[in-house]
Amino acid sequence: MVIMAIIAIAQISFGQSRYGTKTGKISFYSDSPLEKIEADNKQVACVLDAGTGKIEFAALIQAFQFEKALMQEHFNENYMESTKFPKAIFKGSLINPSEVKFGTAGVYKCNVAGDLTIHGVTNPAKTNAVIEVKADGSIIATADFYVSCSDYKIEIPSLVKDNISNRIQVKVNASMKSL
Amino acid sequence: MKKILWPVLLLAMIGGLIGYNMWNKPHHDVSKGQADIVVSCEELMSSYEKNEEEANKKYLQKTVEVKGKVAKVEKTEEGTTIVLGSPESLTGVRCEMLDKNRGTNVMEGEEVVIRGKCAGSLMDVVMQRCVRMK
Repeated sequence: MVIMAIIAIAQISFGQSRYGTKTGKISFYSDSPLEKIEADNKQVACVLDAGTGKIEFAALIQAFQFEKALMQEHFNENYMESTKFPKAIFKGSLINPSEVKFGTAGVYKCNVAGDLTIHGVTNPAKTNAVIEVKADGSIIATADFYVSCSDYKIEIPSLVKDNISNRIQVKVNASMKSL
Repeated sequence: MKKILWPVLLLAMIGGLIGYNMWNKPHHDVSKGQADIVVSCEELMSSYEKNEEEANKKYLQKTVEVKGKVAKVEKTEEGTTIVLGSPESLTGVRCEMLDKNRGTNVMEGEEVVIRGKCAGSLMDVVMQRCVRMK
């Protein structure tokens, strides 16, 4: 009986402490003299464990949508080689999980650190993030950071080097429900 | 001198026009022509479950026509995603519709045929720029 009760309690608390979504959004921007480069991915999977502070994102490179078909083609074929490296993954954790009171509605600033894998290259990454806990218990996690192409061996041909910035601004917005 | 100038100018204009059209070429309309692969929702999911790498070789970036039952319809301001599969299952085929209104009034359990570009698989198989064919 006792064991069953412990399991039941553990399951309840476990259930309450995990958040997730399959429809997170990641956008990136780069201002070039020629044209603004901008793309959205609205099918990003994300899981956050409030107990341990662990957080994971996974995005399909081919799910990034550009306004211009040619740009999307170049992005997939020339820069990201998305048939070889179909996913971008972030595995990390909140540096101080107690900064966010998951039980109380509010907006909390926090720091996230972990490993970011893009184009088959993994680098340590760190960013400020904001977690908003809504009254209904769902959360919205947002972050805004820069990724440098050269860190991930994303080669920009010298012909267009002046038109594409090495520093790409990335915006993350994930509305997550308790799992 | 003038004899050379005109043809050169004309060539430059034609070149410029071709370049401009290439730069602005539209996205591939998946509803036109033939699909690269026709597959059932179950088969598409099971090939990704069995071997993701092999499945990517077969489906990634291709125009895939999937037949399956609607498990869920997710409508937001940003767009509509029709999830194919079984409502009890945790995974399915997520179809991000090209037009958030056209062909998106479907009922759960309804059998549909959707064409789109396969972007690979996370937990679900993800399809983009989708159009409902049936």
